[in-house]
Amino acid sequence: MKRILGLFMALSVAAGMAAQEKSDIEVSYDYHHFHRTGREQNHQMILLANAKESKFYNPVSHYVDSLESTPEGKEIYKQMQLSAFTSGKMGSIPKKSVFLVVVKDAENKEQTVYDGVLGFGAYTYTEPLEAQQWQIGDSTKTVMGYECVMATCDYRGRHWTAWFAPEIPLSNGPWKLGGLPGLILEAAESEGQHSFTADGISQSGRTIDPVIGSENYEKVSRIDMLKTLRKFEEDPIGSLSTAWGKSIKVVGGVEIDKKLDFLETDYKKKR
Amino acid sequence: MLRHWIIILLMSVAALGAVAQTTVSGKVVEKETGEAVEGASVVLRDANGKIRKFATSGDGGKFSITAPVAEGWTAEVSMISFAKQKVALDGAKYPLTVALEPAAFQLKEVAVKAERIREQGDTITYSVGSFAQKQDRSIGDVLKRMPGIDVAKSGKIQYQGEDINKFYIEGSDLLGGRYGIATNGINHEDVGSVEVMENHQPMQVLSGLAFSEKAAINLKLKNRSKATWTFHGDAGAGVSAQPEGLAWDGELFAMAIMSSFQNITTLKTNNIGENLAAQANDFFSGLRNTDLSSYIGISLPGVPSLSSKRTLFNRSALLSTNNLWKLRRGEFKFNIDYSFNRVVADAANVTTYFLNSGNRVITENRHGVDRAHGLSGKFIYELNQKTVYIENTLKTDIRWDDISLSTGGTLPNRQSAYLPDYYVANKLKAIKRFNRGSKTHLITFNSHNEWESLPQTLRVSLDGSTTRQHVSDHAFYTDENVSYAFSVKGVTIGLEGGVKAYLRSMDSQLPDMPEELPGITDNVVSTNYVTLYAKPSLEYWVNRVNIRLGLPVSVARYSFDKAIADRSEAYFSPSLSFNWKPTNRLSATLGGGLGRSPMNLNLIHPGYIMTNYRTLNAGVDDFYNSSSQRLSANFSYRHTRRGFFGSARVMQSWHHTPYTMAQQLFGDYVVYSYTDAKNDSKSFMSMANFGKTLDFMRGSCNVNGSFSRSESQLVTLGDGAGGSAVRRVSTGWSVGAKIGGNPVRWLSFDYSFNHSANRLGMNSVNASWLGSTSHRLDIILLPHDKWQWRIGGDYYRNEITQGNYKDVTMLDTRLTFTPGKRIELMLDLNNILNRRTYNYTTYSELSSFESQRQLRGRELLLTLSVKK
Repeated sequence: MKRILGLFMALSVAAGMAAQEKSDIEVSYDYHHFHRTGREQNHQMILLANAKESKFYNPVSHYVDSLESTPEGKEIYKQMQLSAFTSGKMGSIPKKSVFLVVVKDAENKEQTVYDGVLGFGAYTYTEPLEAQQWQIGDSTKTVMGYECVMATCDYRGRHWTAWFAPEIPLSNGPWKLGGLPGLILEAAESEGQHSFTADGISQSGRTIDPVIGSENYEKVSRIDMLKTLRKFEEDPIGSLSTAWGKSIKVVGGVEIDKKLDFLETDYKKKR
Repeated sequence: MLRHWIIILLMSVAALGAVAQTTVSGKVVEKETGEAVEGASVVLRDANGKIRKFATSGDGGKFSITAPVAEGWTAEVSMISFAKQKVALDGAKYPLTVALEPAAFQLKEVAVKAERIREQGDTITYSVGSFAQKQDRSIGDVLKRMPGIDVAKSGKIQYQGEDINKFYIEGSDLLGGRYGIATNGINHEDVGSVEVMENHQPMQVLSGLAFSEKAAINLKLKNRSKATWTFHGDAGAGVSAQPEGLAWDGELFAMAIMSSFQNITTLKTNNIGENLAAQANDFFSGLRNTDLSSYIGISLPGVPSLSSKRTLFNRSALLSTNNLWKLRRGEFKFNIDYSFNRVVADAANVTTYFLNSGNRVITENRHGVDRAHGLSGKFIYELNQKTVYIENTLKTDIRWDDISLSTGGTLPNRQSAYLPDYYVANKLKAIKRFNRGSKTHLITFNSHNEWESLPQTLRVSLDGSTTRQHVSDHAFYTDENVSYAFSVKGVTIGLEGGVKAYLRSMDSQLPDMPEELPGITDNVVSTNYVTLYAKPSLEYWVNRVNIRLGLPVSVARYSFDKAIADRSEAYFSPSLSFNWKPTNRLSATLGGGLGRSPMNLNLIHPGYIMTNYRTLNAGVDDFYNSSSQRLSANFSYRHTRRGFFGSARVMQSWHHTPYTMAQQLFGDYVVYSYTDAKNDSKSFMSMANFGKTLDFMRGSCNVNGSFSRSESQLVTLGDGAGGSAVRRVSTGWSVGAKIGGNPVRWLSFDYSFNHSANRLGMNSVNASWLGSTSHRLDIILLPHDKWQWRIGGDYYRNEITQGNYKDVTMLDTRLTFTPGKRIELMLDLNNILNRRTYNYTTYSELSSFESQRQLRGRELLLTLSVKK
């Protein structure tokens, strides 16, 4: 108990030092997408936002990162893995499966994206914060009790349909989406490969902490990050073998669904 | 000339454009300070309110939007933490200056529309709002609708067919096993969600070491119900046709769930057929180790297979207060309950004893009154941490139960029993956990001390003479043990050792003995023992299988203060179980055990003890052991996304005792004794339960079934003739189903159905199956937000003898008017058809029993309900 208390104290002190801003709103989105093998996946993503800044992240990855950021936490995580392993319940321990973090900074008009694959690489880039060119439609629907207005846009290779709530005056949304006169509560791209649906919203007042271990992410350009991660998706075993410097064999091989692609697909055309 | 035309044309195009397109420009500032506000949304809406164009205020709070502004357009400026501003654009002058005033942003209450059931690891979360129907009041009403969860009338909860092991409110265990107060009391509108934690190990020190098959429930309250006091109260009064007179039903309920303090206090009273004492039962208490039970058995006539709402003539009250303080280290809890229950019952009975020498018939007209008071208090300190667990519970339980029963008929008599019960117990448990590398060590210390006194007085007036029997029975039990456990690589090895001691003395006097009966009627008995025991255990995890092996051994020294010879005994009762959980959805358990156990010490008494006016018990005059074997298998499956829950279990057990219960008649007296004949009994039980959500009508359904068969022996000793052994086989099965939902806005309904059948066989001659069926349907019409009309009815069809059915239909209605959020008025009319009697037949130990019973008559009740 003391150990955990110590960990939390260390975390909160660390958070305090960076003088964090409180969020005005905390939104939980269900991110529906596909694993490279074609298996359907649902991950919870959290958007912490106020008028000036926001952070969009996966809470499980955040928990693992915060554990791994201190020696005490590392020890706890090791214990969790060990007891899960010995009890044969590997599925029950938290794992970092969604790396994606998007930090938007409205004051400096830039956004920083973090992404990667466990055991392969972690990358980051910063780009100008530019709103999508939205067309507001006529349709409305209710999401979580809020009347939402439809808006559509084309953005980096995909056609998006979003539903935003003018009653929540934050021009933000899941992932890089935003710039509408209201919070985006639902967004889906036209091929059905990615969608975000809000399933919880609260005024928790949680602080928007900086990304833990951001110094461990390699700085690259956006297109380079996407191309590198694409290479991994197409040949995960070969990529890991290269990354670890030893040959890895997987019995039966890995079936990959070639139709699937990232949230942004414009990296293919360039160069 | 041409140039002129071109200029004119250009000018008019520009003018046209100027009419069609307006540049709405301006600045957003903060009202107080005049400072520019950046990042505010500016939305232009047309006359229909449709969003036509929008922008965000930039540097210096400036914005500029070009749009075909027409009549009725408005500009709306909003920003989080500021009040929204609307500006009409008709005749507006640009640039606009929009001043925003700070205002707290508030999300809507209803905002969260989560899935009905979600799962995360071992936790299943049910959203209360998605299961609650308009007619529901307490959280228990809504829990019943959740597939996988079953709630008994007393408030006791089962998950997947297994009793829960903890009930939390916002993560704190305020009520312990008396959570019926919460299930029957907390308004469902205060609860946001219900979490079921599967395989819940309540003691954190044991997490990952000791497997638990049981689940716990946690109520997550809505934000507005936390950190504040919530109250609700009902006051109802009316008239009833049987019992004739005033009918009432009232409740006051107060709850505070705060971060360092919790309280639930409730006061309830009614005389409309609800026994409130059951709601304060401790569902976790288990059996008392003092092991006393009343020798006197007078009970009021009841009406089986009919809801108590229809049959109980009561006056009940319950007062309960429960407090929890979170200290810097641990928690302190303090609970006090007082309950009162007065029940009146009338019955006309015909009892037939089936004997080899012909049937004997006894008729009775009974009138009984039972007054019971209960007062219990509990003080608990608990420290529950990852490495330390300390719990001390001091508990006292006092009960007074006075029963009087007058009987007219073949044997007119009057019986009264005074059965107070005084019980005090203290339980201390301390566990310390050490981690050394990958090894974990646990040391546990347990100390249990219990004392109970159960004086019993029976007074029987028969033929003008009065017999008074007094039994005094005291027991003290102490158990001190230490255990050590360590865990390496998924294997937990435990060793528990301790000493138990038990001191009990009982004496009984029955001075005026019926002449027909031979034998003594005074007893002075001590039954004491000291037991040394060790319980090695092993628990192992491999490939999602949990294997548990228990090997308890004990040696005991029994001393009986010369009533019978002292003796020493050794016991060994191994058990083994496997639990396999291949995925989170599926779990299967297989278990078995065998062993020897000592007899029930209450049976040792050389003389007779009177149970009631015509039944006496002769005890055994020797000590014996019984042996038993059991096998069981459980299976449960759930698919939360589809809202499907299913569970099934089967159990077979065998029991062998060297003695068999014998029944003997002396004149009009029945004497039960134990004869020296081996008794092998066995029983089989199976049940299954399936639940499913029905999302299309925001409802759910449930189907269940059970089958049981038990076989045992009984010896009847005739008047002087030799005894004959009877092999009794009783078989029963039941099926049930319920469905409820809200298919259209103005209607919701609940329907349930139950059918059960029983058969009693004696010496392979089977009596016929006797079945009973009940249906209940409630239709709730919701014509208007403020009005609700429920029409409901019960239909019972009971088979009295083969092919001979008794049908009863009962109709009820309730009209509810809700003028405001905090107030509600209800008008109830129950048993509209005013059915007042009910007949049935049951079979018990070698006899048949036929009766006419009374039902609660028509009842009109007006209730005012308020809440905060």
